[in-house]
Amino acid sequence: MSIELGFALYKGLYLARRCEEYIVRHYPDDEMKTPMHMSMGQEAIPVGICHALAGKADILATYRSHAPFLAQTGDHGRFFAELHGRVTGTADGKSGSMHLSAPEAGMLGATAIVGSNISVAVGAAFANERLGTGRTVVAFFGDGAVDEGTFWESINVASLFRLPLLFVCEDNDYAVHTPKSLRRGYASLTAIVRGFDCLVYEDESNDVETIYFLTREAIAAARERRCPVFFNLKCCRYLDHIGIAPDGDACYREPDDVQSWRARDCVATQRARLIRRGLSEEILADHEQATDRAIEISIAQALAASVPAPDRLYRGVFHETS
Amino acid sequence: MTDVTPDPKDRHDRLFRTALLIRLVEERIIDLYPSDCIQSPVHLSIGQEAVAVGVCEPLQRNDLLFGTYRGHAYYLARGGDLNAMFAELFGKIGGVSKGKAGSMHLAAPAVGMMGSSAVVASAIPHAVGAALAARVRNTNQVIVTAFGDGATEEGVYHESLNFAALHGLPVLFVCENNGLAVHASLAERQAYRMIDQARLYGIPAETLTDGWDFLAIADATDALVREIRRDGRPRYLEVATYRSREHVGPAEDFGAGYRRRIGLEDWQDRDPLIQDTDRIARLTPEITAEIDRAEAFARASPWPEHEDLLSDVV
Amino acid sequence: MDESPQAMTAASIQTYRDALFEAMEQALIRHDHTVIIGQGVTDHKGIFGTTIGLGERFGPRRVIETPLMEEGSLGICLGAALNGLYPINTHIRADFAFLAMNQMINLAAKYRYMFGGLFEVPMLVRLVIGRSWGQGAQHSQSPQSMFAHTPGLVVVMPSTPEAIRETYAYAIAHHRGPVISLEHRLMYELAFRSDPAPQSPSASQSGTPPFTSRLERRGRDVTIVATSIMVLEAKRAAERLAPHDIECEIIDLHCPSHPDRDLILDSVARTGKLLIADTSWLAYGVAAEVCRIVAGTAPHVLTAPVAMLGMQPAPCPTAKSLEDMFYPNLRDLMQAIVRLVTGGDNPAIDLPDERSMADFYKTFRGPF
Repeated sequence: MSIELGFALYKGLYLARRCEEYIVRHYPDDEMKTPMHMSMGQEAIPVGICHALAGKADILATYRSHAPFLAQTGDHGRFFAELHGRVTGTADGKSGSMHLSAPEAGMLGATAIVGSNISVAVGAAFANERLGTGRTVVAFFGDGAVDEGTFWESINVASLFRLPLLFVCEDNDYAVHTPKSLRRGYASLTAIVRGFDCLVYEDESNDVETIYFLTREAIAAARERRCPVFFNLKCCRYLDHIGIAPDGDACYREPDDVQSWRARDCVATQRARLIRRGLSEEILADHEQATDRAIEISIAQALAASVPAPDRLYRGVFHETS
Repeated sequence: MTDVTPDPKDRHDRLFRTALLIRLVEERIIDLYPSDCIQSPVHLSIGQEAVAVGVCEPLQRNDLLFGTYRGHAYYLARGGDLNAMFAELFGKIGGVSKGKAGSMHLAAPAVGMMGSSAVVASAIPHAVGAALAARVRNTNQVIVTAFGDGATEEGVYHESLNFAALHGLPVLFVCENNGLAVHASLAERQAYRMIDQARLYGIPAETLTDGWDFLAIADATDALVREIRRDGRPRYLEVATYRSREHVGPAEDFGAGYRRRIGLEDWQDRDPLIQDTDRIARLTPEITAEIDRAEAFARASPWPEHEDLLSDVV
Repeated sequence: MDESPQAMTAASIQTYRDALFEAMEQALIRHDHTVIIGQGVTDHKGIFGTTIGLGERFGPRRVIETPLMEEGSLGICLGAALNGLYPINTHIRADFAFLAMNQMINLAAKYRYMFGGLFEVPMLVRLVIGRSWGQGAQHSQSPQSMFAHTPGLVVVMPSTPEAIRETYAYAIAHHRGPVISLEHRLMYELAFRSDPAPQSPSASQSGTPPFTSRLERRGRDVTIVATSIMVLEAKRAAERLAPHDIECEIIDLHCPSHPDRDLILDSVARTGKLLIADTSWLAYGVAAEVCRIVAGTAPHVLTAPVAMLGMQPAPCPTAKSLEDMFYPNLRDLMQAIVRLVTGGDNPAIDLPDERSMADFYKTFRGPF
């Protein structure tokens, strides 16, 4: 991979990580009054995929959508405005952290009901196929969503209709706090999914470049065969299911498990790789500082922006005709 | 419904008689339907009788079975009362559910027929839950859920299969594969193979292709039920079968364009309820008399009254 | 927390959460056939603290963790009920239970009637209404009227620990059908003082099923019919208005599927004025139903148009500025009462500058 591309991926990782680190720092100020489901630790997946499909894909995400949103749009300005409940946010401040969207940038929304975005993604892919747009739809969801019946209805119909759809299971092993071992009666998810007429890929690297290339390869193969793709990508949720804290004294997983993932953190890994390839520390540091400043400006602008006026409460409930 | 091994000829006769009873009952329904005395949509089992007959034979009385809206065959195969069934179809107070259930919701808890839902796949989790109760209460029951191939496309089917496999529950999943969901073929609906998928869920699964052969189905079910009773874990049986009538209603619909009559003829060539003319001739008069009595019972039974309208709501 | 039931005396102070825990614990202790089934019932948070430790104490056959499978989960509970268990099904957001609507509406509500009384499906379904504070459109809904609309479901909304103890104990021990309980997340941390001498005989004392409404306060000027946390808001408003010689009568609707019509009609006949305060939208909801009861029976007893408070007719927004408008607050409620009783605003009455119900309950711990 070229240094330029590797650097672009790093920029995506850094932005997503840094935005969440600012959330962690500022959340106690109680200016962001919205429950946070943090992506931290899982950034390589959306960054790798969204960069691989840049401009050619629409995505749908879940309540854990900070990283997918930022990877797809890069728009931390509207991101922070939305988290602060301001009119300059993605939805007038009405959606908060769990329902980020930016249709013009190919972010078709995020929902807070586990699994509920998957069939919507099937519909979006169906429209793309019928309209001949040539675009791919990416559905991000967690391993918990696979337990929902709607996942199986969706993978069947996407396979049956041969839709250009990438199912991305961000497999962090936990549905809220329940591990897969307490939720799944079968030995291999991918074995069952392979039983559908689709392409299946697995990866445990947590590495943004690996995921980038995997996506390119898979989408090329899927176009050839005219079928959907299923990705099962292992990852680690650094923080608790909800909120900005690590697990703390919660005993649902071993601290060592998280530590071993942190030891091969996707952001640090990519940074070290770029240094090895000859990118200077100075260039990296400059970019990081510039990003930090830009984020700080976004936060300041969000705080300075207006809160929605009372009439906004009712706007958009029904589809107004003009 | 007995552990004593019966004389093979008696057993064949007995199963044949039940299958023929189902066939003749449904043919009577077809005859009666134009007179509008059965004001309830009927989903007929004609062609699929052998599955219900074979599956129910090895079950013990306290084993439970959950059916579907295509449930006449299971109701009768489990030993549901014929008079009460006809009265139910007629909407009379003598019906098994006082005329409130109609054809789609036949039930007979006394013989382990735990109800039938008109919403595809919705009874599958009920069987899993009943099996969970069997486990918690140590009842040694086997719980059967019978469903069509269309039900396997529903999400709740996957949720149920997974839960049964996860907790190792004593459920027998019986897929009656008639190749049709309403009017849609398997190829139009499924990008997977049901039997392979069930196995990948970790559930031992078996396929039978001769869906008219009630003896083979009974033998296969008997073996699976014994395994379930031994280890308490789920099993899966898929039986290829044939729906000879329209999805709902009494008629044939080979002119509708979604399937061809030739399949019917292939089936009929092998259907013992057509081919085994000796047994048919021997058993029909007695069964017909039984159906006559049930029809008369239904006609004589009173209508439910206003007070029945609001009973059993909460 | 003292987990022994003996510690719970009539005059004790108890939080809503502890009452729920006690109800769950007692269900498992007293009834061998009771099981708790749900996503998160055995994790360290234990349905907001109401099932913590029960999995270890009673084992995985009694406290059963599920995958995310709302329809399957409720269907499994129905089947378990058919085969001799009493399942308690939990969903940490009422919104999540919408995935189980098929089982709830098409199956559980009808399993008795549809089969002419052949079956009983006793079960308790606990749904938690999300508090505000940015929970947004899919974590904040309060679907009592959707369920109460469907014959066959008993729907309760306990507003006190006492109501939880009585209602759950009765449902589990005696009721043979599905009961859906909506618990308000904002109340979980609140401590309540049990009144040793309640004004009205409690349901359990009188031996009648607690699936009915409850008189919470007597007053001559206005009848307030409220649900869930709005009962607490009504009590706060009533206390602040009493010094101004406005006496509120408060009826906790408690059971939206089975409101006490006589209690409501008798009260409105005395006060002539009716205010309905619900946790959900007004249209086709609790407010509409209470109006149906009065308008269909004794419209002449009303001396003024009915006043109603509930969620604004929009999905719940997350922006604090909008969210504060979306939910009714104490100021809105007191203003509505004053206008209804006196025919206009009264400058002598100091309306509280409390723009957010959530802000109050986030810091207030009781006892109530």
